[in-house]
Formats: sequence, structure tokens, C-alpha cells
Amino acid sequence: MSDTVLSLRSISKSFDGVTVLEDITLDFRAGEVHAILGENGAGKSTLIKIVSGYHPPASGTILLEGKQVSFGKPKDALNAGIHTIYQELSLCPHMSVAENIIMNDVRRFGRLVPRRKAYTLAVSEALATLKQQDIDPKTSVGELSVAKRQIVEIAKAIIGSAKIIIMDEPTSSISKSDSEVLQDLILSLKGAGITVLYISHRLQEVYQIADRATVLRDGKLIGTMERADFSDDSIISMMVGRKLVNVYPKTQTPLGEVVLEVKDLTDEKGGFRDISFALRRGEILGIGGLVGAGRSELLEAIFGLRRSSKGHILLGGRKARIRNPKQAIRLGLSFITEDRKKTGLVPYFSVQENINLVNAQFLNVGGILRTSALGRIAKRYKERLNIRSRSLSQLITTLSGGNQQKVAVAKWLERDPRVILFDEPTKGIDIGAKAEIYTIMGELVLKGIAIIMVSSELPELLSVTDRILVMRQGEVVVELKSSTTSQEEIMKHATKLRN
Amino acid sequence: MKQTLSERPNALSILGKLLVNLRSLIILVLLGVLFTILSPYFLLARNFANVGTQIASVAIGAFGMTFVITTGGIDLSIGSILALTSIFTGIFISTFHVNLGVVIAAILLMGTLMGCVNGIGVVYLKIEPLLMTLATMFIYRGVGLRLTGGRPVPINSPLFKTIFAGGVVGGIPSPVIITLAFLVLCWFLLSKSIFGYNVRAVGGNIEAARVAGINFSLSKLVTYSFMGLMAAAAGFIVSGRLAHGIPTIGETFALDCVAAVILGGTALAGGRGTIMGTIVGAMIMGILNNGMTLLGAQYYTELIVKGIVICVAVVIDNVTRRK
Repeated sequence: MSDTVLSLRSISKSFDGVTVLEDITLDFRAGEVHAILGENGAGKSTLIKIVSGYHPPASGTILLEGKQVSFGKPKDALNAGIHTIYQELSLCPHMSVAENIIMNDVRRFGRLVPRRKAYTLAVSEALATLKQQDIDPKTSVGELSVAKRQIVEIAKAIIGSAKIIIMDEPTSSISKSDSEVLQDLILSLKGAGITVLYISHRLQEVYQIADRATVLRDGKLIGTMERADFSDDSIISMMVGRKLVNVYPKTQTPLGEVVLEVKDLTDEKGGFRDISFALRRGEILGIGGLVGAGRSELLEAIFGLRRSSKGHILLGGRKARIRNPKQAIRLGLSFITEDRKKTGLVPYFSVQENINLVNAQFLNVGGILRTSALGRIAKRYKERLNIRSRSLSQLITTLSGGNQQKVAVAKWLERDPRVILFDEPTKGIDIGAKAEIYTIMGELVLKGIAIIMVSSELPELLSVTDRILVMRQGEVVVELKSSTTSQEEIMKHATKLRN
Repeated sequence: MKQTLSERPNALSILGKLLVNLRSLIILVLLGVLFTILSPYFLLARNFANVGTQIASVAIGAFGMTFVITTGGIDLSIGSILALTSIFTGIFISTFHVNLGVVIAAILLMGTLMGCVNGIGVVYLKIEPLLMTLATMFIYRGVGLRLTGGRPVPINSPLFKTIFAGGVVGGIPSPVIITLAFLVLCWFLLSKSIFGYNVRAVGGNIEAARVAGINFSLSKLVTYSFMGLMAAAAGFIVSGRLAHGIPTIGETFALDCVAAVILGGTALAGGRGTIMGTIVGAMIMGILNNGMTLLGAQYYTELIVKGIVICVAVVIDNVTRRK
């Protein structure tokens, strides 16, 4: 059980003269689930990329089952039995489940033309070992849910007789119940003697499935702990290097008059109906629930990104007709979307251009941009939100996730919004940056701005908001007071089946 | 404090950046040096005026194409727009004897409308830019051929010829002056105006642009319309030189413009494009053309070399941009 399957000996790596991994020595045991933790930029991804053959280490050695190996390319690692499942899955949506699963091993089923019967059988067997017979090998992957695609990835590793499976934040984009299925799967992989390297920001999951956890910080190995020693306090302080007294600071703000009222808002296509609530100045209203409960769609409808079929919105007591984001912005709404890469930022734009994505529409004279005014604004928000970048002309993509998120927030603030919609504002950013985002939210409500925050992270929902609406299958099922409710209560309401 | 690797500058990455940004300029200079060594005529002022005149129409088309490609689109129809507008130029001037100023305004408007049709197809009918402009490429070309029966239409206006082809101001040929004027205009539009900003935002990430309240439909519509206007303007230079509106002219025009834009470092996928890059791209094409001719190479050989240079430029791009 405690045989070492993979050893890293003094692995170091630097890019452009900056050290990202320093002298990492670490053993992985056969059949263990080993969590790798650390803030963004701690070196987790680089470590994975070295193990999976994407990057060669600058120095140090890798031993696989006692023998030294060196991977020149990802295929070498695959052949050695190390499979990596990345956050952005590497599947072809238009090909069938079976075709995807055999992708790395297609040669085994015929030199020129893979024999369909043979591989379909092998795929069915692989899915059966995972107890996932309900996935039809013939359906195309594009029709599967994200969670099922994860399973297809795992089956791909099984059929390639993987010894080690590396998962990079496998649960970041799937719902709670799906992630439980995934966790069961991981435990069964472990039963089959496969080592799982597991990267996640969700400590709760790590506690549930990991045998050991290794914490990286600033490219250094801080420590490895056994399951028995897991605790929030110890892990978080290892990750951030200091005891966080209060990870989620809540500012107490007096509530003012009602600024936004939503009445019977319904959009059957968007999957929500009869949503009513009122939001007051200085308030942070949380919306909890499972992924797919219609939360993001509700925010999109309020912001004019989708048409609602029924109901209306009142802003400052007056009925507002919001048909597109431009009108929403003019009425004082802002929307920090869930996926900053997809809908928040423009990758070829500099930090400054991204900060001004909204302002540029207003700060121009006869179509000519007021460049110096825009520059001053960018500089002000860089300082105010503590956006860490070398310069404002740097490309946005060179910033860490947390700093990118601050830019995604900054772009709205110059418009003096009355209401800001936050959709999963701290998704995929490290704990330090999270705290900064919460602090920013606290400052905003102090100025009388009202916030709606959709979040799947219960601790954050509980500690940041004043009130929580729990949505389930498109409806608000309960309103809870944040100071008196609990994670369990929210979860209970979010998951209960409809009668 | 945490520092990610790319937040710190160093000599190597700065050098890499320079290489990326100046890539087309370096190719241009290398070609210039090469031809200077190989041909005694290359470095003459007369020859430069010659090159400038030759590239004028492609450069103007390529300026418009820079906007289109930056939005993530492409326009194959501009050769047909160029031909059709030049036919109307001939008809207006020679058949109806319309005042030249009115002709110029009317033709530019026609080009704009033809481009606008492309924009409507792309934005409202949601046809892929490649397919929409492929369709109008055939349509506009067909209309021109039917109107004229395939025969050139003479443009009997010495003034028109002087303005767009033959004129010289301070030793600089008029096509070069017109090109420079458009260069300044387009550079300003793309980098200093809200229109250009939105074009880059839409091409870089249309979803983010939408959420930020940018009217992406309008941005694209204006882009294709502007492209049409630029094609008509390029048509003046071509028909001025030939003194005819010719229904079959400009068949490779659109792709020549795309080549100049790509040589200038604009990303075909959209989001990243510069007018200064494009003018250098057009000059590379022009110098290649001119230098090969001076060396007595056949047009056929020239095409082969042109293709190779495009490949090399794109490979340099890919290598230097890879992280």
C-alpha cells in the first residue's frame, strides 16, 4: 500500500529567469489520493506539467517505480502510464464517446482502420469498471454534461492502463451532486491501485477523498500532511504563510431604501420563473443553489442579456425596460460575469484597455477617445483595487487570475453603478485575492451600492451576504438570513426534490 | 508579495517582443538590402515613386481589410466591388458627363452600400463572413459583367487621371499622397477612435464586448461598410491608371489585401491588428514585386516567392508569439 510509485527528486523549474519551482522532493504512493494545494501561482500547474511531460524540469529527476525517467513530450508520460485530465477537457465534442476514449490507444485496435467492434467492447468494459454503463459509447461527447465528460476522460485513462491519474480542479465547473459521483469514482480508482493526484481549491472535497495533501507556496514545498492532520487552520495557514484571522471580512453597513425590485420575473427558456425580490442600498443579497438552478440566467435577464417572458424590474421605484446591456449600464447596473475569460475580458487588450472597456463608450468626443482621461482612470483603479501588474500597457493575460478578476470588477466602477451583479466572483482565484474581492465589495456597499452575488461557495455566501435566496430548479425556494443560517440549511433547500 | 513570472521584464522577453513587433519591418529591410545589392536600379528615387504607385490600391484595400480581419471577419468581395464601382465611374463620367466631385462622392457611397450589404448579411442574417462575401463576390462581379457585356468602359476625364494616377505634387505621385492620407485616417480610426476600440474589442472577445454594452452589430456593420468605401477608393487609383472601368479587373485584389494585412502581423483570428503593420505588409509585397521585375524574373516566379514570404512571416509570428 505504501509503495512509492512516483518520486520527484529536487525538481526545479524557471521561466525567463524567474523560479517557479524550487527543489521539490516528493513521493507518491501507489493507490493513494494525493491532493496538491496552493494559491494560484504557487507552482501547482507547473509541477503537473513537468510530471505529465509538458515541460522538462530545469534540474532534478523523476523516478517512476524506482527507475529514472525523462519525458520529452506528453506522449512519453502517457506511455509510462501517467494520464492528466485538465480543467479544459481535451475531448472532441463531435466524436463519439468510444472514439474519444480510444484516442490515445487507437493503434491497439487496428493499424490503419480501428475495428469498431473491438474498441466498442473495450470501451464498454472500461465504462463498466467505472460503473457508468448508462453512458452510451455511441453518443457524441458534445451531448454529455461536463460531469459525464470528466468520466469519459477517466475512462480514457483506464483504457490506457494508467498508473497515475492527475486531475486539475475536476469539480470546479460541475454541480455538487456530480462532484460526489466523481469523488466515488476517484475512490474506486484508488481501490484499483491507481494513484490520483488531485488539485482543487475546495478544501472540503480534499478532506473527503485525499489520503495525503501537499501544500506548495511560491514554488516551494511547504509540507505534506497525512489525512489525520487535515484541518482548515493548518492547511490555509500553510497555503498563505500566515494565519488568516478572518478570511471573509464582512463590513457592517446600514441598509437604505429599495433600489431594485424584481417582480415575477420569468424566462422559461432561461429556466427560471416567478422570481420576486427587493434589494436595498448597501445590501449584499446572496443567491445560492446548485449549478443549473437558473441563477446566472436570472442575472443575465436583469442585465438585459436575455429577454424575460413575464414580470418586470423596478429601479429606484420606476419601471425599467432593459433590452440590452447598454441600457442596463445607463440605468446604473453592472455585471461581473462568472467566466472572466469568456465574457469579462478581452485577451489582446492591455490592462488599461480592459479597465476602460465600459468607460470608453462614454469618454469620447465625437468618436475620438479621450486617451489621457482613460489613462488616469486606469491608473486610479489599479491603485484603488491593488491590481498587481508591472504596467498598465501589459497584456491582461499575463496577470494572475485574481488580478484579472480585479480588472473585471474595475471596469464597471467609474460608471457609479447603483447595483452590481456578481456571478461567482471568486471562482478559480486564490484565497488572498478572494479576501481582496470581499474587501472591495465591502467598500462598495459602504458607498450605498447594492450587490447581488451568485455563489456556489457556501462559506463565502454565508459570511459576505446579508440575506440569501436559495434557488432550486428555476424558483426561489426560501429566503434565509445569513447570520442565522448554516451551510447545511442552504444545501438542504438547494437539493430537495420538487414535489 | 507574489510575483508571477510574466510580471517581470527581462532582456530576453523584451528582445522577443521587439522581434514580434518589428518582424515585418525587418523582413522589409532585408528585402530592400537584398534588392539593392542585386539591382543597381532599385535604390533610385524614381523607382521608389514607382513602388509607391504600384502598391497604392492594395495598401488602401488592406487598410480597410485590417478592420475587417481585426473583427475576426474577412471580405472576399472587394475585388468585385472595385471592378463594379470602376465601371460606374466610367458610366457616370463618359456617358452622363456628371461633375467629377459628384462622381467621386457617389462612387464612394456606392462602395459603402455594397460593403453594407456584406455587413447586413454577416450581422443580421448571421452568414459567415467568408460565405457572405464569397456570395457577393460572385454577385457584384456578375452585375459588372452583365452591365458591360464584359467590355471595358472608357473614362474620358484627364482631370480624373491626374488626380488618381498621373499627378505629381512636390515630386510625390498622387496615388502615394492619397495612400498616405488614408494611412493617417485609418491609423487614427483604429487606434484613437471609439470605432477602432470597439472593432478590436469585438474581435478580441465579442461576448465581453456585449456585456460591456458595446454595440457589436453596429461595429461590424460599419466595418464592412467602411471596407466597401475603401475598395471603391482603391478602384479610383486602378481605373485612373487604366483610364477605363474594367469588369474583369481585381480578381486577386481581395487576397492580395489579406496577404498584406497578414504580413503586417494582424491576427487572422481577430482582435489584434495595426495599420502601421499593414502598410509595411503592403510595402513588402510591393518591393518583392518591383525587385523581382527589376531582376527580370517572370510573374510566375514572383508568385512563388510571394507565397514563400507569407509562409515565412506567419512562421516567424507563430514561433515568436509562442510562450
